[in-house]
Amino acid sequence: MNRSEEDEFRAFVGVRMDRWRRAAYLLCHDWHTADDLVGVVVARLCRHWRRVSTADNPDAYAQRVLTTAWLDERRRPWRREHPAAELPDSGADQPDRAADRDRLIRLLAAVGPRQRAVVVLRFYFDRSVEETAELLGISTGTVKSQSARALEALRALAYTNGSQE
Amino acid sequence: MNQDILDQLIGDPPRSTVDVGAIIARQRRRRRVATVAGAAGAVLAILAGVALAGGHPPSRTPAPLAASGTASAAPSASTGPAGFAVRTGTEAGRRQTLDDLRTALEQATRTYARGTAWIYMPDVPGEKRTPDGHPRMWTTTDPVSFEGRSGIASAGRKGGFYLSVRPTACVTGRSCSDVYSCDGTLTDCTATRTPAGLPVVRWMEKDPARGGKQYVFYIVQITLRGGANTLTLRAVNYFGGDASPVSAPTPVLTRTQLDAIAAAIADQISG
Repeated sequence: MNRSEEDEFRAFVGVRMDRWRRAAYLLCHDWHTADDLVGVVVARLCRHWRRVSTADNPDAYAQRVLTTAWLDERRRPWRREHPAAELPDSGADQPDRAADRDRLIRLLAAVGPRQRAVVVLRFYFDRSVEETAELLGISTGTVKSQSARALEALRALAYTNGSQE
Repeated sequence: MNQDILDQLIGDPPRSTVDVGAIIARQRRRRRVATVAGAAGAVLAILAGVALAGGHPPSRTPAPLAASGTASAAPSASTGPAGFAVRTGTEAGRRQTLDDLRTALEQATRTYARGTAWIYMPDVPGEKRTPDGHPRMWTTTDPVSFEGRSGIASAGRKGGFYLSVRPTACVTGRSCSDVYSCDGTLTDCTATRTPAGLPVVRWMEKDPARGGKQYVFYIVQITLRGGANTLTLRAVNYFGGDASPVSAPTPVLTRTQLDAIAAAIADQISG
């Protein structure tokens, strides 16, 4: 990577860093892991920058790397989620944004990793059903059903949590 | 649910721990970790017996590669007259340069890598599929560079192929190419010259891939007449965009074939 390519790369990453970190946080609910995931994205972009910079849609590429890095991360034994019948007691919500964030995190934690990836791509990155299917390597039907199920679960949990307050 | 709502719910993120500068430096170090083995002498000896060839009258009509045949023909040591120039000043000039490059590439590959065929290679999701039979080529938006990429198949194997013609002078905001030399940082690096006397540097890179496999890159760079541009060809053993799995132990094109193809193209470019 020469100097001009490096400048171009830094500018590309700088503009998108906050968005990638937030998306990664939605996926993993942990800022440390989120930064690890974004680090993977930046490293892969850096390694293949000459190819990526000439691709038709570098943003789609970066989003694909982020979501696949997340899904790969989940497959590692030491990262694997341990499903439980009931969500752990998280204490009473506080009437502020932190409580809203906690509730969002609990809601997203209740859906599976791939559904979470679908939710992030569809509703955070504003990707279409077709684009989401391409990015995750699944069919459009799967995207539709998973996003519908995820939304249904989120709504149900939101209603349940809300009614408990 | 949309981005704004989610952003509000997330709130203010803590300070980032992603160090972009360190990542760039790490990638740079990785590239510099080279083992110039004592094999360089052996490679030189092999190269001495392999003439990098040109001497093929440039065809002005792009033609698909032969779909069948035997493997590589030995390149002949002859130089051909410079056939076309790299023209970036006008849209028509750039289009003509692309056509000339494609013609030279297809002609040289047909000659030195018989039995190979250009096939569509996906890169990023959502890109438009292009037909098999020709490499995909385009100019950069600067517009000072010419790029090409394609899948290439032979005998049931497939891999990737990349071409670029870029300026050697790096101006901020524009694409350019480092002029490489065998300075100890490149693996299996050999410096030589085409039959027409143009400087050639060829090397290889390896990166770990999943399942204990390795990404293999064969690379050859030729500084074109006048020194204002370089031609770089890359043959790789994966098919598709980044993170695509390894498709074969080695690229479809051999290093000798790649060198011969590069020399045949470069010797046709007047500068």
